[in-house]
Amino acid sequence: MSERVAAIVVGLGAAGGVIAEQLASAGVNVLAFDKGPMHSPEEFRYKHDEVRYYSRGQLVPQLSTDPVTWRPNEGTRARLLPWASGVLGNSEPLHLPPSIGPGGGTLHWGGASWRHRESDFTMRSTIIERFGHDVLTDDSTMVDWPLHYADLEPYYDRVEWELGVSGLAGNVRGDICGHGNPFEEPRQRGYPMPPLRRAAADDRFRAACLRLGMQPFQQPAAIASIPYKSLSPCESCGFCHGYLCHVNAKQSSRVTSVAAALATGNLDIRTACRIFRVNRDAAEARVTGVSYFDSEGVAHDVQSDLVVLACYALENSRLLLASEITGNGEVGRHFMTHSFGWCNAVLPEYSNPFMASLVAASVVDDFNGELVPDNDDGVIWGSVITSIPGDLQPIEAAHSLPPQVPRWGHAFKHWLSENYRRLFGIHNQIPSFPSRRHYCDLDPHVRDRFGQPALRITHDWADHDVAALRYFERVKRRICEEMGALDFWTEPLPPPYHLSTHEVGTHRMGEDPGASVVDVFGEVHECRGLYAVGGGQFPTLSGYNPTETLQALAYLSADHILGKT
Amino acid sequence: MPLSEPAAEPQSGWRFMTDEEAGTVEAVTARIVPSEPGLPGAREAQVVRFIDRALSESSAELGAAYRTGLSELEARCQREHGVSFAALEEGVQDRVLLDIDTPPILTNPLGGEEAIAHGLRTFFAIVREHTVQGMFCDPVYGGNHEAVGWRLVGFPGAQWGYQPDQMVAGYDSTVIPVKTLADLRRERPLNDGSMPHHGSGSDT
Repeated sequence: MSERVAAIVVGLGAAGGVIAEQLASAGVNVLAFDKGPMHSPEEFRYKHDEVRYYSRGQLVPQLSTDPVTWRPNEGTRARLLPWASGVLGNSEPLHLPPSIGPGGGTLHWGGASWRHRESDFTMRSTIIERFGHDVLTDDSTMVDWPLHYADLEPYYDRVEWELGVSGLAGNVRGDICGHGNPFEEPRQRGYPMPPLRRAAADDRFRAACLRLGMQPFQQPAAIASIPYKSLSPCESCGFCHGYLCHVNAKQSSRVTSVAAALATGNLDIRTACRIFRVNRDAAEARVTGVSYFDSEGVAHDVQSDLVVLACYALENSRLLLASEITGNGEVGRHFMTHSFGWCNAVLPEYSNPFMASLVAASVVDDFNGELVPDNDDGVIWGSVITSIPGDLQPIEAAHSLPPQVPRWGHAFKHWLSENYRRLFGIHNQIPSFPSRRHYCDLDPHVRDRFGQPALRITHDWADHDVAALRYFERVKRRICEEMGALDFWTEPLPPPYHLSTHEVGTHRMGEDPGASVVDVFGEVHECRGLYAVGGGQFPTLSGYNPTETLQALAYLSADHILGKT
Repeated sequence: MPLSEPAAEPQSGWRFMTDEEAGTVEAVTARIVPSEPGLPGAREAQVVRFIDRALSESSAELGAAYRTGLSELEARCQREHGVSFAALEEGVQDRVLLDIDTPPILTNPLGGEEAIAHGLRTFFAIVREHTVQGMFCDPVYGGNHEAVGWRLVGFPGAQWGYQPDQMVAGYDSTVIPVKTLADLRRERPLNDGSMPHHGSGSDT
């Protein structure tokens, strides 16, 4: 006798948390599943542990249990993520699928919280209008979004006020406010919390950008600066991005949506359970429920007419494919990610980069999206530039050495001893373009210990990625020189990683069921009652961090499910 | 992996390595972060303790990689110098390791089966990575003894937070008393009533 529930939500991260909470608050009984554990109060409070969270990637899925393979193109055999696997196990947790356990990626995220501008919804039209059709390569699958900024504005407002974002508005109803983003679209009101305190080097960054004629402002952050609902103010501990938050300042769905949903009594969570199949009726037109392995590895079925997949763009796609839901061949396609162009500098005075969060920082938006000036590098879409004044611990610093410093011995030791306290970082969110060449699918050879096929990623950095990385390296170098940097260096170009925790696009939304997987509400065209939500919905990726847009779309999806829109 | 508990470490005796293996490992770590008067290194940080504990808790594959690497290193030293690695003069030890580490592995040790095939070079890359971890880990892991690693770079360790007067350019962080996870557990124990609500929910 199979269990039946009103609604199933798979994954309680940024999107799943919002939808579970909206349904539960409306009186719907929700059964939620998460592959990871319910992290304990002890783990949250004593999170200041670089070995546990950076070296050993304790929050993210291990490749030994959740294999992911990668190849640059179809001519190569895929192997377990080479930039992240080794005899020591997983490493570089930033370049792996995001954290698991209720909260998902929002357990550890930095909290950069951005609205798209209108151009981000019309990337294809904007590029063609400026440059003509020929600028897009033959393999391009770039399209416009099926909605505009005006459609999503009320939902961005809900994210910022219901979940909590700190910052200063740039444009309230057409009024340019002077301290926020001068390029942002008009918003109905400002942020509910003032900006966070920044680590020391950020002022030097700001001053340098102003002298260079740029317009720096503080990045909006999903981190509390004052008490706000379930959030307490940030203490600037510096163990932020990659770590749990010991004071509930970080806007994690665990402490916002999930906590609120549990308080209604309508949310039941099963952790350490992994969904392995979405089930459909005989005509394969309606969802009927899911099958999952419990923590003992025993398989179970649960029935429901409403199933929401919210376990990350990549895992959503893998699960759809494993369930033989292909979206006319669209599932898994249009894989996109960010390259960060991570740069570091040594400053003349102590920057103390271990104080304050990574996201409490100034940014420059003058070169983002269509604002990127005409150039000889072939860059047709830009990116935000972000100061990284904080959130740097010693082991990570030892992984980001300038090329001329030996990796061991006296010189290595002296360099770290003299320069750790003077370090500063600066990076971008450079979006890759959707292409026929880049996709994810099921690995034909590799399976997990339950016999489920591993996710396989086919992706390589394209000419535009390299062009944009080179262009922005020059901009970042100029800023750091203006800051008085004594040294400046960059990560390898192109980067050796192909995951950034910003993967999107692999179950894209659109109005045409022949060319998309889900509609604007995230409902799968070919299977009524089944939703696939999150970054996988994005038809294109912007030069901003994607999470706030993803959360706004989740509120839109919830409204639709509840019949409000 | 269980949360590290602040248990007392035995003064002698290893959890995984033999005395001889520990001696060789310690000697290698002492070349990676050497000791100098006034500037402690891997010996003072007791990195070898961190590595021993890590090996006792890690996969059999990693333990085997260490055993194989150590025996290959010893075999090379006996062959070329007639003595064990630990008995060599520091300058000679450095030349042995430089020879092994050419060309240097600058990023992660190679993935999967390729790691074992590259023998001593990969072994040294693993020991170097472990040494960095053992220098800057929280002392509860057995390394960074008395926070000497943190003090070497001016890192105040596990702090609840920082104040505005500290977050200014040029501030000397070495005036901040260094704290460890054991200090944090003492200062804000669980069940002190201040724990923010996370939402109840049980693991199945």
